[in-house]
Amino acid sequence: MSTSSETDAGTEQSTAGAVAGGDFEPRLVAFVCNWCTYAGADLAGTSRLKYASNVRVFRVPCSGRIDPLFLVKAFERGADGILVSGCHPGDCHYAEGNYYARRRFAIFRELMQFLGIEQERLQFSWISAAEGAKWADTINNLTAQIRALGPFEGYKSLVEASQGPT
Amino acid sequence: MSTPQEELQGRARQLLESGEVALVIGYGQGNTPEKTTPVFLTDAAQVDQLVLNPFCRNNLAAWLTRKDLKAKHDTIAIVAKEPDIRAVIVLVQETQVDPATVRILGVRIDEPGNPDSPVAVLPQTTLDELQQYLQADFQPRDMTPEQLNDVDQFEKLSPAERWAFWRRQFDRCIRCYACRQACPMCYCDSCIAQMNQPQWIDTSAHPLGNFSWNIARAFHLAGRCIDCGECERVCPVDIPLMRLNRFLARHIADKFDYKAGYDVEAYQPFASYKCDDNEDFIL
Ligand code: SF4
Ligand code: SF4
Ligand code: FES
Repeated sequence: MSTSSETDAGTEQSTAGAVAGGDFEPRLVAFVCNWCTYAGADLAGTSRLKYASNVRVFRVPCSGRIDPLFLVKAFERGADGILVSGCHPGDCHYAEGNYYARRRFAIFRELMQFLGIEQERLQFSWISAAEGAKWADTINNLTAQIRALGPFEGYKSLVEASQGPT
Repeated sequence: MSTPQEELQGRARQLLESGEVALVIGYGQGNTPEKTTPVFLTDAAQVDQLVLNPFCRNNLAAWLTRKDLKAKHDTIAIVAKEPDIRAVIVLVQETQVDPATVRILGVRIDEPGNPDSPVAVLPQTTLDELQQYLQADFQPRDMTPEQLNDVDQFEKLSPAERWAFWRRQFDRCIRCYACRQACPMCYCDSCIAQMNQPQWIDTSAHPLGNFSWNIARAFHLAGRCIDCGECERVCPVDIPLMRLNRFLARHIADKFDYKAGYDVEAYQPFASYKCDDNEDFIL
């Protein structure tokens, strides 16, 4: 992403506000569509908006491309929180990908909560190419919420319990 | 007067004798009085192998998508209880089964597993008639109060309690995939659970792989599960899979006013959308 220097700058801001959470820096993953949210994140960068550097961005063609197993895999690999974001309804580059995604994730997030995953750890947004500020706010809020919640011990313990003898 | 079992045998005999079907899949006597086992009949002389009793449990619709059977027999009849008829409806809806090649011998078992349960052969014979029969008492949220209560009560636990519960359950999974094999809706040639390039789900029976497997299984059945209960019944370690399935079914009913297995023409919830679907959860 072209926002790397800006996100680095954002680190100072986020660590400054990290007192309550001790040393814990949340690891966040965002799955974003190429046409809206990715461009929105880009705009945040070119507008020199500061936001938490905790997020790793995965660009996909469309929110409709996001298989829920992507999210499971991100948790498996250590994500403490995940954002899924695409174009606003009516704005999808492929006309209807986000409508399908909306239905899929309306149910998938319920399943994850039913399994005991806190709802803060899996969030969804529509962020357009013009909404650089919304991107920055969304990431900052997500970071603050996950920092308050702490590391995703549940999944970390699954990983630990699954390693063979070393 | 003939017993329901004799009536069923008569219908199967007629189908095979007339050549209307090449194969009848039904229930035969198992190795104890309380067990049945699927039987595959190609000759009218074999129909006395068919039994109809409260121990007919398998969902035989799971065999309708078997390539080997489809290749050998151009028309197949199956003995189908109400959930199994719903399974056939979803298979037709998903274009896995051509309705012209299937005949349904509909049966009713009022209390599966209870030796005193009444059993009957349904008078309806076409898929259309059977669908109408099922629709007669259709409710999108058609769970028993106990089933709903089980889900509702569980939801009241804290996230940590729910997590601990499923950890205990899924940790036991031995990854036998009996749940998948028994499920009429799990017909993919290559299951995501066995893909290794890339590997989405660890194949080992360890807590991490088991968690991902059970998430994938449950979610891939969301909006498609026809509530036959076979997955849970066959699970050798008694994981309460129906609690997951019913939880998802309840949300599908509430959010999309849909229940799987009642209408071959219906659009499935994840294969359709409405512009004004609820999006309260989206920032
Ligand atoms: S998920 Fe279980 S209850 Fe649902 S259709 Fe498959 S086997 Fe039947
Ligand atoms: S039947 Fe039970 S033990 Fe076997 S794979 Fe399914 S959940 Fe795991
Ligand atoms: S292209 Fe952005 S959601 Fe489809």
